[in-house]
Amino acid sequence: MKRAIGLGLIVAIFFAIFVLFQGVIGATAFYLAAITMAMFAVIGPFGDYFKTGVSLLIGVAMGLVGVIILATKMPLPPDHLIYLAIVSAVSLFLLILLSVTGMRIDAMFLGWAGYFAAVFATYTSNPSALGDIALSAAIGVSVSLLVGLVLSLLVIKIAMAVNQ
Amino acid sequence: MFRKTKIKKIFILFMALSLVIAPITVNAQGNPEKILDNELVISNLNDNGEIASIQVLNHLRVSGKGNVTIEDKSKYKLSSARNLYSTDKVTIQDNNLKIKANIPAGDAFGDVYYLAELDKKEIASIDMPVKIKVEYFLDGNKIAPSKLSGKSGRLKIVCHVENTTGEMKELEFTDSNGEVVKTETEVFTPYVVSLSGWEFDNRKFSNISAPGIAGESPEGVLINVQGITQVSWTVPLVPPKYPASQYTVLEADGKDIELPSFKIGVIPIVPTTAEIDNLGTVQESLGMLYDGFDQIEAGVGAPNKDQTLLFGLSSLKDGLHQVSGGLTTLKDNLKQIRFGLQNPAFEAVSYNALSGADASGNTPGVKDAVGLLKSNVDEKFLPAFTAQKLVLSTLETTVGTAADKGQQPSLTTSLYNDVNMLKGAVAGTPAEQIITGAIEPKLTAIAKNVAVFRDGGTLITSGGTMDFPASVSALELGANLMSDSLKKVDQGLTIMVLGLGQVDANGNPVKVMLNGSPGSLLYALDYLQAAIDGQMVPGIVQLQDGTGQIGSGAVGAKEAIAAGLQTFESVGAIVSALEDNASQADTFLGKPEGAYGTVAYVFQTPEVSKDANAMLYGLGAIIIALIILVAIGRAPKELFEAPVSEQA
Repeated sequence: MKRAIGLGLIVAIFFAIFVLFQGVIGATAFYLAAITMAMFAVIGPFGDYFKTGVSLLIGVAMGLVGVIILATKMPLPPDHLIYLAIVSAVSLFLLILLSVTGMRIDAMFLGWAGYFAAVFATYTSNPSALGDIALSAAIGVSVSLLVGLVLSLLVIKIAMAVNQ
Repeated sequence: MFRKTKIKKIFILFMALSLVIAPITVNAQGNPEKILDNELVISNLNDNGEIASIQVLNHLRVSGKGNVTIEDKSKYKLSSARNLYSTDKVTIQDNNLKIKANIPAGDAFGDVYYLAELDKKEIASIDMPVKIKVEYFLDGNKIAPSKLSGKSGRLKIVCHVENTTGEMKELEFTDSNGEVVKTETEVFTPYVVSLSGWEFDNRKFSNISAPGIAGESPEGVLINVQGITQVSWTVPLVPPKYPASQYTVLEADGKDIELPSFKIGVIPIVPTTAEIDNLGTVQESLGMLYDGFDQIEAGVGAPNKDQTLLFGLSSLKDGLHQVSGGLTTLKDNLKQIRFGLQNPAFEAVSYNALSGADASGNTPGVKDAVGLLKSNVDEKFLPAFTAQKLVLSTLETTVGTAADKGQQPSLTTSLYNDVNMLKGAVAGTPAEQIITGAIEPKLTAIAKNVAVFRDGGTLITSGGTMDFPASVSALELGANLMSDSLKKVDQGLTIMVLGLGQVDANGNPVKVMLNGSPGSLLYALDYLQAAIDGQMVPGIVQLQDGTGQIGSGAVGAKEAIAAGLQTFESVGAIVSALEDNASQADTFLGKPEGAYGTVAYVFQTPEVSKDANAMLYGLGAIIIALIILVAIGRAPKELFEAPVSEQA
């Protein structure tokens, strides 16, 4: 129990540090880390966290490409829903296709969704600002997701240590 | 059979869909009735404060019906053009834009928004109507905005704005005399620059100020709202009322500096304000001012123009020259009088009475002569008289008196003693009778006359007696009186000489000052002449020059006021020209033929932020996370390598 408390405290401190320094590393969507932790702590001690991480990055990249296409090649909001639907559908279709290569579909979706959550408000209100924030948002979202994943891995390691 | 049925069904479905879709997709090709072309020119400034890229956001509002194709010629080479809110194509061909617009059925107009980006090679050759240059300074040193991020110190941002549209134009207007005046003047296209909403986070900035200088730089307006200080300026670049070139200044103490991208808006407009129009009053005042300067000019006049200040000053100067000339003559004459009274070069010691001059040939003046005379009286006459009196007294003693007798005659005994002795010796003889009758009366007369000759009285003569006033004592007294008189004359002459003043070897008056004033007549004249020649005449010359300058100034002021009055009179024409220019400044890229256009410009400064660092750190974090995941997050291989027996 003491070990669990100790390791839990370490994870909590890591998370607190991450939240404190989210501005320095551009991870303003820090809360995504908690979602990642919640989603992937269930992978279990024998899950492939590295592949999950790569899947998250692929999802973010897909989101970034989708937003870039939406912002530069498609008509902009407000009359944009059909194009948004097309891009979203194509993106998700491609992610599903990619999943056959062994990438985790849930992680890719989470990456894609995380990125859209970060930039969609900007896309609808001020698409021209996307030129400045699209890439930095992708990095920030990726950091949040990966940090959450690492923390979930630590949580699993703690659980395993406690069970032993 | 089955195949035929299937094809037939597909054909029927296609036809049905065509009937539904056709009204939507096929629209009649129409012609635009009216086009409004609103341009927003967005210029992004680089690290040097110069334009790095230009985008033009065009809003076309097309009135009419159906699908229309608009041709818009661009003045500049475009690298891209994109329809922002619809799928209608915008194509570029040889700097010509073809924009398709769809006016929905039932609507009076349709809107097309497209974004055109200028070829970067074009930017250097583009003359913006308003030049914008933003400079950043930290602690007094110029610094690029990209290097400001995270720094601390006294931040100064200077934004130079200059209207470059000035062109010489001939204006025609009617002046106050009702005459049509044509004048060539530089007329600008009026632009107003708005630097609004520049935001400064109060956690990072303090002591924020936006000072202004009249005629150069407008003062900014600061508003502190919820931890953010917003600074705004409005800079009208509308000559002649406002300068064509101005600048704004922002100063603040910055800490860990980050700045958003500031927007600088520029629009062509003749600004209308609530300012009260005092033009009529000012114009009337200028007219009065002109009259005033006209009177000054008339009063100043010219040296040859009677009843003017310059004429009077010229006459005064001539008069003073004459006074100075008169003083010279007066001085010369007084000098002669002065030399007549006393010759400074004369030496009494070497005076030769025969030549009437001293050893150097200098003749004495009156005072010198008086001195000589008094000297003669005192030194020669009076001693001579004393000696004469002494001789006469001796003679009187030698003669003696009738009472002198009884002494043995010798060299020291008187004649009376000797005669009495002789008379006693010849007593009773005729000789005694001769002595008594002839010698003794004569001796008595001699003794008496000697005393009279010495002291005055009645002289005994052979014929009787007579008064004798010319005694030696009387002469001595007269000489003494003469000496005293000569002394007084000398004193009077001395006062005259002193009053006239000393003269040096060159004949110039010696400077003598008494109580701050000239102490002699000659020096006073010299002083007066020096004052006239050295101060009054130059003063009058300066007065003439100054008056001439006043006259010239009055003429210049009249010309300036006349020009100003003309400017006032031409205000209407200038305002009309400005409004014409403003209405003509309706496009940057170009507009479709017959379109009504408006244009506005926005210049964007680069953002100063730590995002670049954050991205680097973020990338680092991603790599570290991946390394951790590779290290401890990979699935154990043995899970996928179970023995064949177990798999079964």
